[in-house]
Amino acid sequence: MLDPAKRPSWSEQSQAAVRTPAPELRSAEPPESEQAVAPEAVRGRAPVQPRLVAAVMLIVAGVVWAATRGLEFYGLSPVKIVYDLDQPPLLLIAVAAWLLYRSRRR
Amino acid sequence: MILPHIQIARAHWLLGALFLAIVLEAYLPILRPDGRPEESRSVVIPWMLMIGGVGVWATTVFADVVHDMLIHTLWGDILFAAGALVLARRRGAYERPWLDWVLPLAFLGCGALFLVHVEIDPGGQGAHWHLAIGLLLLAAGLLELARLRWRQASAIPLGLAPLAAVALALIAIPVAAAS
Amino acid sequence: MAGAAAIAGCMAALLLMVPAMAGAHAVLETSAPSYGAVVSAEPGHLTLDYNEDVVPQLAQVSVLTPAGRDLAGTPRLSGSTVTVPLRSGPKGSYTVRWRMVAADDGHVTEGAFSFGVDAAPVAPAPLGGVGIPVAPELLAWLQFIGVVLAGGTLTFRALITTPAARALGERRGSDAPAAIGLAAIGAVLALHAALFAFLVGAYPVVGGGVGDFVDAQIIPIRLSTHAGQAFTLSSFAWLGALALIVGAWVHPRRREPLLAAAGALSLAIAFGISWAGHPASGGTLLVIADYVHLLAGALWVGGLVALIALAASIRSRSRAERDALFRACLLRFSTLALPLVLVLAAAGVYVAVGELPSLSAIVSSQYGIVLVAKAAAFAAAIALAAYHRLSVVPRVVAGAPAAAVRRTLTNEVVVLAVALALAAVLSQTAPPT
Repeated sequence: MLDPAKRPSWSEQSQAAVRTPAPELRSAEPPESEQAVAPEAVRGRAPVQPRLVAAVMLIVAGVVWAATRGLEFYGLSPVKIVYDLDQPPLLLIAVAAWLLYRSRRR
Repeated sequence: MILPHIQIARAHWLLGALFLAIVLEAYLPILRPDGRPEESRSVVIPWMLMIGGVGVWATTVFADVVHDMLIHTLWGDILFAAGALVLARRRGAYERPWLDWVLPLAFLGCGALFLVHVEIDPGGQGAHWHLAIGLLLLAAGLLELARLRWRQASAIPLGLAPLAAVALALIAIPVAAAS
Repeated sequence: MAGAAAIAGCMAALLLMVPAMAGAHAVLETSAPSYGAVVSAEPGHLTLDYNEDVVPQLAQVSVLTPAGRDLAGTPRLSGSTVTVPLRSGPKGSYTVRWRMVAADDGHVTEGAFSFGVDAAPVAPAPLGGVGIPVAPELLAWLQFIGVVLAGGTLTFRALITTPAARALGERRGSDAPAAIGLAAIGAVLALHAALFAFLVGAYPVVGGGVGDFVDAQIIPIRLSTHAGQAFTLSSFAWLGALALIVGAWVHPRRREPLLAAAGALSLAIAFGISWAGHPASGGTLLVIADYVHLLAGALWVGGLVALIALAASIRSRSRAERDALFRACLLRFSTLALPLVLVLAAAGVYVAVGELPSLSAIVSSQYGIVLVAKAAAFAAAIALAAYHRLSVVPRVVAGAPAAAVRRTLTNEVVVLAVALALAAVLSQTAPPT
């Protein structure tokens, strides 16, 4: 890092989002000619976003958890869960909302 | 510092939720129409790691027992160093091929420290949970190292599963304890 | 970005809330008298409450008077409560040392605290003959090196290199990578050295074996000693300095102000070293003089290191550019060097006079002998500095290459490193009474 010969890898320019893939993904990707394209893209449809799937799963999990907790009010819940304002179901839904927010197209 | 159980539960829930948000953002890429993952230059992850490192160093300073101080020091060092290196890369200030190995090695280091913590205090509070979290972090680190080593290109890295399990464990621990 | 900042704040707060693990070990929860308490009359007994049962036969408690007399009788146990009858003693600060073995898993825990009988308690005194050899001196030296690398070199850049480069029409300092690397190394060194210096200093207070010290309860010592308080504040300050250095690394446009801020913060942290040292018992003026002495030394050595790093960084430039920049920096530093050395010497003499009870103590005490050795190293460094000022600088002004100066600067740094090592030994040597 102190060697001036290594200067090309020391950038004086701060970089915003660039067009090339991030380094972690770039080194993990095979050469372009070998890269498979998602079937949906071949048929012209946008691929299913993993983040959307994860967000939906979290929301469903949070709703099911809250409903299970709510059943205790009717004496039906088999599991005693500590009830508090910052209960886990709300947190899971909050994480899902954050994921969707960070996934929006800019 | 000994806190009431509900405060400990709240801390674990919120910490788990934050870790889950970070893990999902870091390892679930946005796919372009052609199916390739989109680049991410997000600085949220490295800043979270560095702030996490500072927080763990705070635990070092305020710890009650010497071995807690020593283990949290190493933890804090790993998180802060990993965050600084990833931040420098994402800001374009420093680029080297070996930076790919930073996060996987950080997971391995943190996982190993969890196991060391359990080894020092096997009868401690939540020791079996710490053991599980340690093993999951080791698994995440190994899977990510394998992905780098064999250049597996996949939209969703395998390391996501154990990392998400760590986050969910943090959320589930106090719930299970209170049940 | 505001959302990310909010999450960052929450995460930091949460990580502070996660408690340290204290499970199967017998943790002292409360005591009567409690640590730091002042009681009006001597207590007839001391009560220690642990979070779990302890082994009666292995319970050890001592309660020492200011003169070192142990007033503790045989401990009586009832589950997790230990009651120690106390013999009659004088007014003053009492040091309690305890060592317990948890009944369920046999883990040893130990600790020490103090309380006062009709007097303010002082920090628990260390046990004589207990300690880890060399470690305190080495860790003090590493803290000095950290202050030099982070505080001295960055402040030198802010005061000398950056203005000199701007005067020659350069927009950004080309020695930035070297400066950032050195400062990061210094901050990391100092942060960890402060932690281990605190632990090495706490070990003689608690006593027992080094292996058992790993399970020692440390909070009363951290809160009641200057060393512990300085460690608490300096840890966060060093982390702040590291954050500024990382910020300077990744934000080229804001690099210079961030590095200047990191340098200033690093020099400010050095006050903790003086405050936790011997001068603290001699009053505020002595602490300030010691701090000024430390600052002047850090700037002197840090400036030399920065000059050497600058010379190495600009090697790839043309000779004319190299020599112009190096000459400008060397001249500016030479102008500051004489006042720095005078301040360093004056403050050092003031502290020495304050610590030595008489002139004969210079040769009759270990402290005095180490002081003489340090002064001799300092004198050698001054001789080299005078050679620079009177012989080397005029040659550089006349056009001599910068490369010739690097060797003599390196020699001066080596001599000053030896002086710093002797200063570290001095800081860990008790002044004569």
